[in-house]
Amino acid sequence: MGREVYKIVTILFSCLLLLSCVKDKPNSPAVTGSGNVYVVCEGSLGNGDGSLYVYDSKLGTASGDRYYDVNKQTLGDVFQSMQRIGNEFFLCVNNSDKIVVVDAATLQFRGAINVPKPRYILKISNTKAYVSSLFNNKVYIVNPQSLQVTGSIDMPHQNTEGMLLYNNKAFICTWDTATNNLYTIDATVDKISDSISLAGYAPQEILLDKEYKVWVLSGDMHEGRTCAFNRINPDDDKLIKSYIFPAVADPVRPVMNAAGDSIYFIEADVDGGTRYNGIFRMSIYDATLPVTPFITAKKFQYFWALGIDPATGYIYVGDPKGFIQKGTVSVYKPDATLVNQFSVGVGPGHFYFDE
Amino acid sequence: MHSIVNKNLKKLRSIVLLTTVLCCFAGNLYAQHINDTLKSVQVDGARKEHKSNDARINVFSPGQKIISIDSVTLQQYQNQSLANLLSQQAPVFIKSYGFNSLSTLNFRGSSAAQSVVLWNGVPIQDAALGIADVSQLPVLLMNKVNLVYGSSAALWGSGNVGGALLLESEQPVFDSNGKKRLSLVGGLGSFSQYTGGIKASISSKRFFLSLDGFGQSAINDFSYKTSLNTDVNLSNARLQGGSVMGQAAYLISDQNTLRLYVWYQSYYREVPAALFERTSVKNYTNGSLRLLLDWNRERVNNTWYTKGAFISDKMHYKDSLSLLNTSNTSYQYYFEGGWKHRINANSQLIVFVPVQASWIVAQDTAENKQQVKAAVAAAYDVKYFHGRLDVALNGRAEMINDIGVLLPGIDASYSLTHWFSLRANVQRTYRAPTLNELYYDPGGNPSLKPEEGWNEDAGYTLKVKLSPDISFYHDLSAFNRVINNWIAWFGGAIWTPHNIATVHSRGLETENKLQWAVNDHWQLHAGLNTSYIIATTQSSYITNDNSINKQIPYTPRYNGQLNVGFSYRRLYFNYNHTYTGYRFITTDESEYILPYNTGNLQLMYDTQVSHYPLSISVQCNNVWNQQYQVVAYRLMPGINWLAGVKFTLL
Repeated sequence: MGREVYKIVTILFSCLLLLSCVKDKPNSPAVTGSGNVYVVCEGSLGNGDGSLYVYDSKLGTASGDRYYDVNKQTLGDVFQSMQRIGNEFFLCVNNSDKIVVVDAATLQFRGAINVPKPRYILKISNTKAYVSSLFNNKVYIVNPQSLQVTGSIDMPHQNTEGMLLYNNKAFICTWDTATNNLYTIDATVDKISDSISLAGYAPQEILLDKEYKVWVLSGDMHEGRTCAFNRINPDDDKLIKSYIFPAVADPVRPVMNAAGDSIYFIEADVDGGTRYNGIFRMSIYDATLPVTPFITAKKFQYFWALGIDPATGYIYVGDPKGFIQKGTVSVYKPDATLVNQFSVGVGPGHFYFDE
Repeated sequence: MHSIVNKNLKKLRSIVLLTTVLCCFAGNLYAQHINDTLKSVQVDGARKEHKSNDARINVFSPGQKIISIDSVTLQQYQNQSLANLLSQQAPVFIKSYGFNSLSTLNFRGSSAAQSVVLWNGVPIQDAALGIADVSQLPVLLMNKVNLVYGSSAALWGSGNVGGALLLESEQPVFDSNGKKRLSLVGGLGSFSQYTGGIKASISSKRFFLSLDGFGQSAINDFSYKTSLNTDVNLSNARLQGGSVMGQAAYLISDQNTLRLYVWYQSYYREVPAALFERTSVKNYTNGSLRLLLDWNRERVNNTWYTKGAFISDKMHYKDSLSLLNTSNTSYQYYFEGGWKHRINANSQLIVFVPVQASWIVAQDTAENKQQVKAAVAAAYDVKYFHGRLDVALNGRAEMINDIGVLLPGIDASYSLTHWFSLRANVQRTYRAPTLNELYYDPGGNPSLKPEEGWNEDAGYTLKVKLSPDISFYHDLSAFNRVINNWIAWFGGAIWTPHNIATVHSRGLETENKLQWAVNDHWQLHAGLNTSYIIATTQSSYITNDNSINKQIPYTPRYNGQLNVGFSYRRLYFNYNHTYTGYRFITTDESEYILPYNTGNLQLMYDTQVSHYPLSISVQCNNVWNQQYQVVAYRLMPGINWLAGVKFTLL
């Protein structure tokens, strides 16, 4: 009888195995390659899936996750930005509280700098860089050679964000809805030297145009702070002109073209609508903000990454697809003609063009 | 006896053949299983089958798969949470964010908000989130635990898409002799886990009073290996919590009973760093108050009842590293009045009117956001062919604020023989968006529509005696469900829910048990539960969506549980093994977590100390010391122990 029971159980097991018609083990083909366009994929907050993709603009092929391929470990949670300093790339991994340093040629891990919530890194010299930090009122000072935090600069407000160096003066955005000031730091002594009053609150991102004027994007639409572009003369720290966005517009990721005469930016509608949603372009001489998108986002689509290849002028646009699946990057000619599309990691957020 | 065995074996052969044929036709279905093999143990006397006191289970769901957690299992886990019990013993995926951390239900590929949790018939999911944290539901406080698989929104209301977890408190017992009951439980385990509890009651001819309490604390500082292969102890993982439930019942007359329940619980939890985080100082405190007043009048052919409940859930979350210090409170009133009527020996009718009003108060603006659901529901059960065919028709008309929904359903079972029965169930189902999905700031989407669709499931059960000492049980369920307007959260910095997709879920579940009473002292048991779930996105509004025909996140395709053990006199032993397959963390299957196995040993022994019953239990979890994750980058402990005692004084 025991044998009979055994047979029964065996048959039942077999039945279940027969039903296993979908293979459980997923296919995860590794794609390796190289290129000069780096796609910073944030990953989905809390999933620890930040990744680094590389696009070969000549071959039109993308590969990734290159960091994992080379180092056999994951990068971390919310890969925010990257920057070359010397022969190394510094990768700011925001929610993993670290800056990962890799060899620029091989992407091999060289070390890590523990910094709370790093957002961007700004090279000051070969031995000094500033790091902005979310949820903190500090700019951290790191040594890119020793990979040590060597100090910090207290700021009057939280969320240090975009930074720009001009004539040894660092312009620091503090993306805090309580302030409409842009701060400058004397990079020689690492102390705040001035503050510049802006047209809007919550300064976030910063650019330099061909006339050596500074553009600051301020605002936090979701927190009720209307967004604005502020054009500043960095020599006397005066506001030259401001452009106020509609209250419902949420501009992000402004970039300057190689000529330095046009600004491209994203307006993102996370509610699924199409108004104020897409890629916009304006000349630095325009009197008003553009109202029509240069590249339109579709319903339930919004863009999260934008870059302009300084060598070709091609426009790179990242669609995060809700941060719940792999994103897509579309490459356009300057006249908005689609050139190529390729798949990248979750949440493409920035492009880095290595020259 | 030999001839009986042969006869039964022949019968079994035909059953297995039938099973095989049915399985072959099942195609892409899913399999699941329950671990109800823990039977016939000499603990607290004979094992009792747990049936519900709710007529919606007992009478009006003949075609639905319902699993009752047996008393032995409840006793085994009396020092633990329902999350632990269900993850090891029930065919439902428990999405656990870590040891002793937030744990939610996933029935048949549904999300946490698509699974309802009812306590004495009252929904107790957080009104804002629409989910229940089953790690905060102590087993000790529950007298009956039932799992209802598949949709039956007509009976159980909004959110019953994948299934329902039904919890019931102790029924009052009126005794003119002034019966008293008192038992104490305590436990200690690895990682400085301490638990303690009390169950006490006193009854008279008219009154019944009971008080159940459970407290626990743990440091949870287990060690784990980092990606650099170094051993690190988990930090910021402390847990402290307690739950008290009191009941006062009054027997107004022989047919009238009035009951009042008061249930309060508070938990403080630290949230340890995920593997990708360097450190964590996150913690949250939540407290829930649940009041329930219930009146029941039973006559020969008629039962009337009303129940009214007030529930508040408060959560205070802090993360000083992210400048977060938020406090949210949700409230809900629930009222239900009903009438059950036995029309004749073969048919019964129930009509009930549930009304639920829930609201949240925004932290910043003090603005009040509310949702009101009011419904009229009815079910009619009729039996034919001497009860062999049992059919239930049910329906519900519901208004959710200003949206009307009609939810019909039908289910039936048919006993072909005394050992083989078939069942089937077809229901329309829906889930109203939660208050958070509608109004959370930032990100809430007030224009969300309810998720809605149809659920079909069918199955069969066979119970045979291979001999007077050996019994075999086999149950197979297949289901199919299509949900439109599936709500998915999108976002990076700001997350917003959208009605984005149609999701098709189908699967096959089996439950298999074998029991052998070797002699008067030895009993052997073995059980295997399997599930196979395919839940894929069928269509989507997203441009170039790569999730089409891909498995939705955190729904393992394969899941299985095995129980093997024995009882000898007062000793009970069980080895439990669980397998959970790949879980995808993205909708396009591009990222996933590896499968894991856990082995768990359970030992119980009953004895007496000075005539007072004493039950001792020891549990060793993850005996193979696997390092695994249920949710990506959230750590689970290696081998760990938990010992407990139950001392019955009265």
